[in-house]
Parts: sequence; C-alpha cells; structure tokens
Amino acid sequence: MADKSSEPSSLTRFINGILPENPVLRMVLGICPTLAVTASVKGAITMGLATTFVLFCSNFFVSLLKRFLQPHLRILVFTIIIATFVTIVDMFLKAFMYDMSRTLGPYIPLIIVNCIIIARAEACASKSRLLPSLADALGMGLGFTLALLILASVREILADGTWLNFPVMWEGFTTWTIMKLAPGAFLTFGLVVGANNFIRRKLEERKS
Amino acid sequence: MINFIKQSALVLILAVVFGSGLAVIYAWTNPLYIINQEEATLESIAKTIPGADTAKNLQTSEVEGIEGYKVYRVFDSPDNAKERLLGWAYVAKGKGFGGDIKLLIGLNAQADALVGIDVLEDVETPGFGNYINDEERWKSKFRPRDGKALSLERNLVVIKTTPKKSYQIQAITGATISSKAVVSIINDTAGEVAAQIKQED
Repeated sequence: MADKSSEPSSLTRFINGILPENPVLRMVLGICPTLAVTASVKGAITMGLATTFVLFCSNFFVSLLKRFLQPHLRILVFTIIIATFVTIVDMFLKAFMYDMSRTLGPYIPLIIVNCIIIARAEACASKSRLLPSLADALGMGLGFTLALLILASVREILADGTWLNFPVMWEGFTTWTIMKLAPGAFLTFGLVVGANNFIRRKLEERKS
Repeated sequence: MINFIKQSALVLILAVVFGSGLAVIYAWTNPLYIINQEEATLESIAKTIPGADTAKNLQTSEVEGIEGYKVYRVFDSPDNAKERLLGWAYVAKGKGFGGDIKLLIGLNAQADALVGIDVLEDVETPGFGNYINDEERWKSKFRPRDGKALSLERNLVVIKTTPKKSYQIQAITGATISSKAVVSIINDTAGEVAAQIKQED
C-alpha cells in the first residue's frame, strides 16, 4: 500500500480526473465508446453519465473490499462488480429511457470492457481509502463525460447543424455527413487531443 | 479444499449477493421494458397502416398459428360496438449492409397488397443506408400511390432510374445494397405471410 502521506487528497483526485489526467484526452482510455457514441450530444451525455455511475459504484465496492482482495482473484472481483452495475444501467435505460437505449444499442453493455473503469479500480480504488476513491470516480467520470461532450458537440454541429437537437447553424448550412461516420469520429478525436496538448504546452511555457 | 473455498469466498459471496440484486432489479424493470417494446410496435403500426394514425381506439391483436412471424391484426372500434379491420402488420428480419434489418410490414385488410413499411431496427450507414428510415426518401415508396396499394402478385424490383411500373422501386442514391435488402425482405416474406393470414382468417 502506498505511503499515506504521499496519497493525493480527495480534492486533488477529483480535479485530476477532469482535466489534468482526463481519461480520454490525456490517458487515451475508453476510446471505443468515445468514437462510437459521439455522433449526437444526447447520446454522449447519456453514455458519460452511465459510465460515471458504473465507475462510482465500482470504485465504492473495490475500495470497501480492498483488504480482502486476493492478488490472483482481483481482476475477477473487479469484473463481477463492474458487470453487475453495467447490467443495472442497461436494465434502467431499457425501462425508463427506451429510445436512448435503442440509440446506444450494444455500447451500454460494452461499458463492462471500458478500460477507464478497470484502470481506476486497479490504480486508485484498490489502493485508496473510500473518500478519495469516490472523488476519483466522480472526477474521472466527469472528465470522460466532458471529453465526450466536446467531441459530440463538434460532430453534431457539423453533421446536422444542431446541438442537442436545437438548430444552431444558419439556414442553408451544408451538413457534413462524414462527421457522423467513423472517419469523422477519428478526425475530431485527433484534433481535440491535439488542441488539448497545444493549450497545455502553451500554459506550461507561460508558467516557466 | 478448505483453503480453496477460503480463497474464493469473496468471489462466491459477491456473485450470490450481486446476482440476487440483479434478479430483483430485473423483476422490477423488465415489465416496463416489455411495455416499452409493445408501445414502440404499436406506434410503428400506427405509422404503417393507413387510417391507423387517425383511428379512435386503435387496437391490435396477435394472430396465432402463423409460423415464424409475429403477425398483428390491426383494427379499431369507433363507436365501441363494431370492429373495423384496418389491415395486418408483421415483423420480418433480414440481412442489410451493416447488419440485420428488422422491418414492420403492413398489408391491407384483404391481405393482398402492401400498404407501408417501417424500420424497427437497423445498423445501416448514417447518411446513406439509414435513409431507409426516411419517410420521403424511402418509406413513402411503399405506400399506396394514387389510391392504389402495391399488389403482392409481383415481386418488387429495385432499379436505379425513375420507375415506370408500379412494382419498380427506385434505390436510395449511394445505398443500393440497403435498398435491395429491404425489398428482398418484403419479397421473401410478404407472399408467405399473406397466404397464411388468408388461411387463418
């Protein structure tokens, strides 16, 4: 276990997840849903919040059970916990947000294999106390949601001329169908990660 | 053996506890899910069968005894006394460009002509193949034209130019495979289902 004094505080953990260590933009984790569900802002927000919920519950249980985790069984325990909560999310969406559940299709069950969740269980929750683990889950979850939101905003505005289904572009705007397809996802992703790195470097230069 | 159980105790306990939890949530949410699915089908039927969207007290009942298809008898009873048969609708599935396409296909009351289709599920390419969901670009081609529904006597044919005959369907630009997939699902199933409906009715 890490030295208590070197362990980051809950607040640092929370802030880290949002931008400095953003799972998508900095750590490049969870790229499958990032590319797949960012064609619409609504889908991206739902996916981000669903993942945040699973991450929160998974970090909660992993942190509670960390004393009992056998090294060779730990991945199995992570998977049981994650799969349970993903299934709960899936059932909830089917019952209460049926249209969204149809739009997201297989990507909700696929949260099980989202590496952000297992990475946080392994790197943070299984080594930290409860509160920092929960703060970490919220920060990472919001960071993930934020990254999806940025990508989806760019893609939806260019592909449909709308944001969250509200028309935002001028009349006669030519929609870019490619932004709805896989290449649009890759292009936007690369540009957003690049822009994030550029801004970071500029900020660091200014600091030094 | 004892050691083995001790080591896996956590996994065993978690599996039992989480499994039971899931069972409880499933028992709660699944009835709602089934209602959602039925509502979606009903909504789809209302869009597919002419007159169903304006019908008062629209009702459907599943026709029993038809092999391999879920067939709905669509009717309404405006003054709660007499039933008025509006048509038939059934669900059919086939291979599209990106994966399976699930269609709701509407037949007229005599079960001898096509009156409309709706796409229940598809994974066709956005901007091309998924225009099969578009009323103007695609679904309207299967609705009655000048008051005449598409007869089931002849198989529909997909062409790339402006159709001259009633059985010709113009493909969506850039999505010939998706267009052909939809039409072949109709061709493969409509005659068979119609024959069975006539037999059952």
